[in-house]
Amino acid sequence: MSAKLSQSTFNIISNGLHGIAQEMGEKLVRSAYSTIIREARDCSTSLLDRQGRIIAQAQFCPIHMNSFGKVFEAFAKRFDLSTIGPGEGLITNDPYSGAQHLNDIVLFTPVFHGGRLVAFSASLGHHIDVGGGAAGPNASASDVYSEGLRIPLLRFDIARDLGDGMLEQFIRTNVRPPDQVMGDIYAQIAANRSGEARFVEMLERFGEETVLAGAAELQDYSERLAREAIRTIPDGVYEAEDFVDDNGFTDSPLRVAVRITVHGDSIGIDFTGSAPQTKGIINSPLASTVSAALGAMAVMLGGGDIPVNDGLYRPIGRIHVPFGSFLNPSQPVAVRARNNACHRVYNAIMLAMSEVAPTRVLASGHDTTNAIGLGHMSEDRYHVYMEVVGGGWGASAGADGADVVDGYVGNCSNVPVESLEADYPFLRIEEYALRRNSAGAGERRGGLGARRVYRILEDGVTFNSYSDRFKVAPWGLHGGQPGQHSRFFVEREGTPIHLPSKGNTTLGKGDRLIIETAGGGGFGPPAKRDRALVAREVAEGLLSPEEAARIYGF
Amino acid sequence: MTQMAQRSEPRVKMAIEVGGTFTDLIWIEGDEVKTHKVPSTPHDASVGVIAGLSEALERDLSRLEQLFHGSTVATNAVIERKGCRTAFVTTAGFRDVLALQRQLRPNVYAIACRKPEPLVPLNLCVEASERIGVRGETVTPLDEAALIDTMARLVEREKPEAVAVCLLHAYREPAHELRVREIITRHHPDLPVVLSSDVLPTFREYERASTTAMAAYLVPLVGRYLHRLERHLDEGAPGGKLFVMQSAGGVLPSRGLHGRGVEMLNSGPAAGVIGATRMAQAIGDADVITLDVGGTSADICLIAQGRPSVTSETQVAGLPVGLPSIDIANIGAGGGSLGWVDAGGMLQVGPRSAGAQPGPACYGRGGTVPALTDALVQLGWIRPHRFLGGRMTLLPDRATAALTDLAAPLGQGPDDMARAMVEIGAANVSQGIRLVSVQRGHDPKDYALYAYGGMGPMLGALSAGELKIRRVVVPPYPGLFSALGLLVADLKRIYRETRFLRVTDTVAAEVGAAFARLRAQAEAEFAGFGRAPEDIRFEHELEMRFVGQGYELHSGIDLDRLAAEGRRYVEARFKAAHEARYGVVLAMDMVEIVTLRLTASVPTDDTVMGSLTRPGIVAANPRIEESAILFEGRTVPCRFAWRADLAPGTALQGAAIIEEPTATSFVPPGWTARVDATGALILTSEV
Repeated sequence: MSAKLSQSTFNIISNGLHGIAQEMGEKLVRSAYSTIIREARDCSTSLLDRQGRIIAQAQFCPIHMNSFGKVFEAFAKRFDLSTIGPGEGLITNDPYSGAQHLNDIVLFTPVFHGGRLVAFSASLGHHIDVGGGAAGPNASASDVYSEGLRIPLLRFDIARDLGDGMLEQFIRTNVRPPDQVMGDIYAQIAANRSGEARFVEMLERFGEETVLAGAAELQDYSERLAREAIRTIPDGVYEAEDFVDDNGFTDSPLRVAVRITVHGDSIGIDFTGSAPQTKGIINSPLASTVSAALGAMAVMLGGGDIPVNDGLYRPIGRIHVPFGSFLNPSQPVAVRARNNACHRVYNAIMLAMSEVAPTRVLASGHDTTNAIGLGHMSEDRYHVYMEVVGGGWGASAGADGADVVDGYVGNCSNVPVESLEADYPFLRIEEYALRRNSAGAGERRGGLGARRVYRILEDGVTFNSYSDRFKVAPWGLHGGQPGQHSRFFVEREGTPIHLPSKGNTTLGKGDRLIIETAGGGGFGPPAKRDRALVAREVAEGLLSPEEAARIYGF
Repeated sequence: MTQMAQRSEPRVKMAIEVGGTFTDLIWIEGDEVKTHKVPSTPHDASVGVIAGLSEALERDLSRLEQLFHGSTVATNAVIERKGCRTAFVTTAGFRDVLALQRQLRPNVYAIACRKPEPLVPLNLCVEASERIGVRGETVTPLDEAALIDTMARLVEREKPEAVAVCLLHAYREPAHELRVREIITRHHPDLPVVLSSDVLPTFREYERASTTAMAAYLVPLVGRYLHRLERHLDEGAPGGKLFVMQSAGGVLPSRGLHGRGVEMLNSGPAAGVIGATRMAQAIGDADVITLDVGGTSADICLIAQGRPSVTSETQVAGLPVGLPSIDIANIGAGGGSLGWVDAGGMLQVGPRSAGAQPGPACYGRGGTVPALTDALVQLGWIRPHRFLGGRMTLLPDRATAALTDLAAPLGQGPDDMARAMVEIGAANVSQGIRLVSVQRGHDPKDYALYAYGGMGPMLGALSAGELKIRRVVVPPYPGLFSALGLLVADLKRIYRETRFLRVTDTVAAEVGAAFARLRAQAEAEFAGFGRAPEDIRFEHELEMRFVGQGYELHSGIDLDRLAAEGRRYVEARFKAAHEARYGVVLAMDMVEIVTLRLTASVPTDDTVMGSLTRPGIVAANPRIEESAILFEGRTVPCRFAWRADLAPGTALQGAAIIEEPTATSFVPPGWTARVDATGALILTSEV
């Protein structure tokens, strides 16, 4: 530890920095306009030092959290940031300039103290609409242009370019709900400002040198813990693959291949062998792929106990993602559903490490963003319902997988049924349940998926969705069994009609839309499962006596 | 307990607060304030209460007029899972609602992700074939024959002791729930049945189901407990009335509460906040942050314009409780918080705690890891022979040894370690204060910090400094504050109704009619407490949101202005609340009233407060000892005083330490303490 930094100062600065990032996030959620940020908390916030290294980030969506550094790099390459002024900002949503998909708008504002640039506040919000070919995910998009408005790497003057200025007017003209989108951008600025104010307060209390030393020490601290964790893993090269079901147009699965090299206290990751870029919206821009890989490392090395900042990533020397693969596509392929690929990046890393680091990994969960969209035009207005339905979490050496949670790269909440029915009069929920028989058996069982039944009450309701794990089941580890696939279907006059994982269809009055999400894979042989747990699940009706006998020998 | 009981004295108002370790009593005889403390009896809290009462009143219960009671009995039953075997009945298709919960993960990088265990396991959850729609219409009628059959099989198989019923949209139309209760009661007359439309008639099915299940879970236990106390009072104090503290910050007569233990959750901290609210009123502070620091944790609450914040989003043991309650943040910082070094080499203080056993190392009960109290002894801020007014002697050598062990691997000594631990402890408290202030749009520097609990007055000024708070108040009786709050709490109940009313031009009439309904309900209940409608004070609030938003903000409403100005007034109230909390509202969407909230209260009489804010007789010549302490790594001169010796108007400059039987106040250098007319210690910072 730096000589200037006392034990208590280090603790106070560390907690304070984390508090600032978290407070920025809460501010963003609470002041946003759209339900996707306000309700589902699809956003992230971070503080970066002057060089763009992450010093603290709030616990929101992992897929966003690890990518601020990547976008910043692109800005630093494009502009001379040493000349940036206090009234300026940096904004982009361009997947081909370090951002993720077009809905995610990233915004940086500089932090000054004593007339000098000391840090950057950053926020990312998932915007409800950015124009493009459909209100909601456009599963038929053939390129990024049909997905909406691209904001290139822009350095702008907040006072001049927002309001009546060019930037705001340009955005307003190109999106469907301009007040919501601009409202959310203002919420991002407010979140950044609150981070700035709190950081400056801290600088005034401790002095810039001490705070920056504390921030640097916090990164070193994470790095130390990460390297210690890597040293417990034997040196070697570990490989695995997993698959995205399809691209929504053809039947072929898309391979994610990973090769992890552990050497001493550092790790390299290589995605050579992954499928080439493809038609449809499931390609993942480089920033998303890298973010998913870093997040997987944070789970594997820290399990939530290591503060996630740049220091944690330092031992991860090189992440190679071949250009032209669907994990690092060339312009201008479409990328809206990049979460499917990102989940498989995480899964493949877990699988590769499962033999040598069994206590640090999870079996596959449903690990999909089950984005369910329903739209209906009534006399008064267009109602668009959008929700992410959770599924089973993967089991691990120490724990059963949780039932019905969002996939690993996101962390979106479910919406109360009583609230949905009040807001969307064209539907009624007839069932919301744990999906029986969906979990992969094991010494630790996977989490149960969800079963949700929507009764459609009007004609002409459009259903837009993207999902995955319809064909490749969530796998178990070390003798644990796979979970059930996801499936979506419509019951029309008693007949089931199966739907694809990615697509759009029209529903009519009286239809029942049934969403069944995948269960998680199990961990360890079922025969070793605690008998008392099996007995309890039989009593609770989660397991039939026949299944208990067949799977667990109970 | 040396006071003589005088038979001719007016009858006694007594408050008893049951805590984890001690049961505190505070009462007023004539205009004299008296206090007593007995050990708590966790196996059956009523034993300790009855013993304390008997000692305090010298076995003469007949003088007791009113007993105000606060207890952790409900909270502990949930935390320790000691409630009854509860069954749960819900709408067909939703049997799993208690298990599904919300789908968020608290730590996104954790490998194991677990939801809190519901109070009712799935084998006790059953469905009723029925469905009410969002407008209260019947979509599917209740299948009564099937319900009779389901319940018969459930009772036979699982033998439940209480039943919770939560049907979809019952907050809007309770007819099916009422019918379900009739049927269950007819076939199983001994089974208590709790309805969601009674407990929490507001929307959001998981939160309502969880609250209803908890209510049923607590029925037999809390009922038995209150029954024992009532019987005891009836025998010794005919006509004496038992009142019970509620989470929402009021007291209610116990007779109607046997089935409503869920409304008693966290009532201890709530009572403390009410005590602080009344004390702040007497002293003249409108905007206050309360800081109650005990052995293991700190409770923090914000009071704006004399009103404590109230929330409907609390949790107990991870399970949501949707009832309005005083909005208190709890953080793991207290006198027993332990110092430890984590895997990466960072020094941490808390949330691990030494608890009551073994306690801090200096208690000499076998503790070897230093707690915050040990650090304070090391620095000389707590004097071993004066701890708890000398009732307990501390062993400073044990504190030094424990601190030395922790410090040595870091190349430091015990003094450095003690300083670091106190700084971290104070910073943790400051972070907690930020949660209730900065994060909710309030700047703490505009607030006075009311510090109480055994450790609050010690950490108050240190935590305040970091937030630029310049006024810290240590009220009288800081260690008995929850009990004190019971004595001064109003008779109060909150009534709510969910409506989903879009704010349009007809809003005034619709809201007026809904409040009239709630008011009739309140007047009927208060009549049962012996209170006439004209005694009741009403406050009207609306819980509102933009259409589609997932949480509500509440605003107080003046019914006359509503009638006069209508829609414009309601929208302006919502906009103001939104801006205060989250910043500028750019474009107004359609505003929706989700829930109407009516608070009915009858104030306590002022004579109680008068007694509590009258300083006792003080010594002619206060004894002030000049000594020295360690502060920020240096030895600085410090004056030690005994609080009861200090007359109103006395001022002491920091560093100073003011001791009393239940707490120790620290006045850091740069701060001055003054005793005001009420006996409160007011610490102000010059910088």
